[in-house]
Amino acid sequence: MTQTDPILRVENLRTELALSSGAIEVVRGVSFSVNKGETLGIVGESGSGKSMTALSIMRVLPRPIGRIASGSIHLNGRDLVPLSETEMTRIRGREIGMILQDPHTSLNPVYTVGNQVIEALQINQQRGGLLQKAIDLLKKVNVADAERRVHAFPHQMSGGMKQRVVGAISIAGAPKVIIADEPTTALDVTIQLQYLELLEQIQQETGTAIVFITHDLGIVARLCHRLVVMYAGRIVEEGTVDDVFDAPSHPYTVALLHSVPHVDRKVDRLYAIEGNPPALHEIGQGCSFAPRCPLADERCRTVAPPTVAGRSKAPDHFAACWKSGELA
Amino acid sequence: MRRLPLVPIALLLLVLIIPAFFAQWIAPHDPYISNLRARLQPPVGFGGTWEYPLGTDRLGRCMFSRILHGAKYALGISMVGIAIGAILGTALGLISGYLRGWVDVVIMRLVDITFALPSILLALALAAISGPSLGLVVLVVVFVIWGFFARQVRAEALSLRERDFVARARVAGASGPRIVLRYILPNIMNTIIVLATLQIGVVIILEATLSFLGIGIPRPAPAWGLLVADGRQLIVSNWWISLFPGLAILLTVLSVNLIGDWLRDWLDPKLRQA
Repeated sequence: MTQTDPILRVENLRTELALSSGAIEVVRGVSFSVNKGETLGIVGESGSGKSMTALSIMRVLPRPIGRIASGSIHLNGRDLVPLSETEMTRIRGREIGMILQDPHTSLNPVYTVGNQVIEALQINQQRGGLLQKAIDLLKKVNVADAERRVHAFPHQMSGGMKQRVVGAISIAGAPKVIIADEPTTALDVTIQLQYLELLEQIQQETGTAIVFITHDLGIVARLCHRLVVMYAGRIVEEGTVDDVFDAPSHPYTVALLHSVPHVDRKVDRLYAIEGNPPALHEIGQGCSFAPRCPLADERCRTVAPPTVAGRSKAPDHFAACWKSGELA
Repeated sequence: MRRLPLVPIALLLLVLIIPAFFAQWIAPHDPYISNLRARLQPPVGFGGTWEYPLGTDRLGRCMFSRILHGAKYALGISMVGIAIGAILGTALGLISGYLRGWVDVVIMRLVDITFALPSILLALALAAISGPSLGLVVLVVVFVIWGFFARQVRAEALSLRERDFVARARVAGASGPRIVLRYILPNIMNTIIVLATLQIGVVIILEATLSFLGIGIPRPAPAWGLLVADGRQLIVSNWWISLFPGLAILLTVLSVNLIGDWLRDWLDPKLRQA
């Protein structure tokens, strides 16, 4: 586990969607890396490009409109961008897995969950004793009474159970990286924590790297080692969770942290960031956050911000902001 | 949930299925042997005898026996024609809906063309070239119905391929053929079954039409359409020759459609739970 040899390294990724009104760039030069056994959080509002980044890595962008315009995605030293669909099929599930947001629609309604876990095992070239292996996998993701549940259909299970099954399917091929795209958003709050603990447990047992996409900073604090904050298709801040939470170095991160409600603080109004994220086809030369930023000046609006060291002065803490130094 | 449609099922068994399999044991006479002394006998109740319950035709052949034997053609052609048409249409519909792009355009324009071509005219042209035959009837049946399957299956495949469980299968490493065969096809199966059932009526009428026009099953086979055609010139004086085969067609198509309607409701999980 060295900093120089990450399992997943995304460099200057640019992804476009070809809409009828013209192509728009939804991911605009994103770079980050994840090490073995590490959990990276990707945080941002809806439309910040975090899900598009995940779909780009999996190479499952909406067809035919989505495409990776430039950049590289190195998984275990191999660039995924130039690979053919056939080659990608072999990589998905085995080297990189994904957990989707809504467990209620993520399973095929016509087969039992056991059947679907077995299918995932078959895709990964497992042979013999598959039913037992499926039961073992379900036990691994804490499905109680797995021997009986393996024969249940998805509609006979709760959302939390189904998301566990989806988890079991995604670890069937023992991937080195799992991308989890808001896997707890559709779950009851009481189940969310259990599911996060399950992900941690899987990570400890298998050493899988996890990329956790969320807009919930509480989850990031609970689960992740490092995080990147995305805004309008760009990374605006990156660092360890401790550094970013203690010394947020981009006005957007500051505002995000400020808008998390606290139980122990009584306020009349919850804080919200003024305005809306920019429409992606309206982005100009300067900082995308400038229109909503309290510190923005003329330079912010006209010149793209540089990447500067974060206020924590840690070597792996960066922000893309002109005014980082003025934050207190 | 609607109750099992017992009357249509009983009718279908009585008119189509039992005769199709057991005609040679049930029928009182050989359908091909004429008895010139018993020509144009009326049915029982209209001056006829139980010797010929539904009367006889111009050559003195037993109408009852001929109708019973005719069921074989109706059932056989609809089963074979629909099986081929459904498999062909489903396969092309799946390819069309899953791949989209130019493949989709080509296949859907082919469907438009087959819907635009008058099938009877096509059958007439083919019959003029090769002469009427069983194979020709099946060919025309397949030609007429495959497009219904292709269109319906494509529409459902288009919507299913955007569903989350298909996305999940893709990110779990499922290949294109696997997604089509395991994720899309099984979720369309209900539709295909209902569509196939509802097509039986269409096909039986089509087969009868072709036979009636003399471009379907060759004489002297007792296909229902041929029997109706046989009685056409005598319809005023000897109405029974056309009426009873026509009635067989009517009852079969009616009960098949009623069963199809019921099946559609029964296979729909939303209606089933209600």
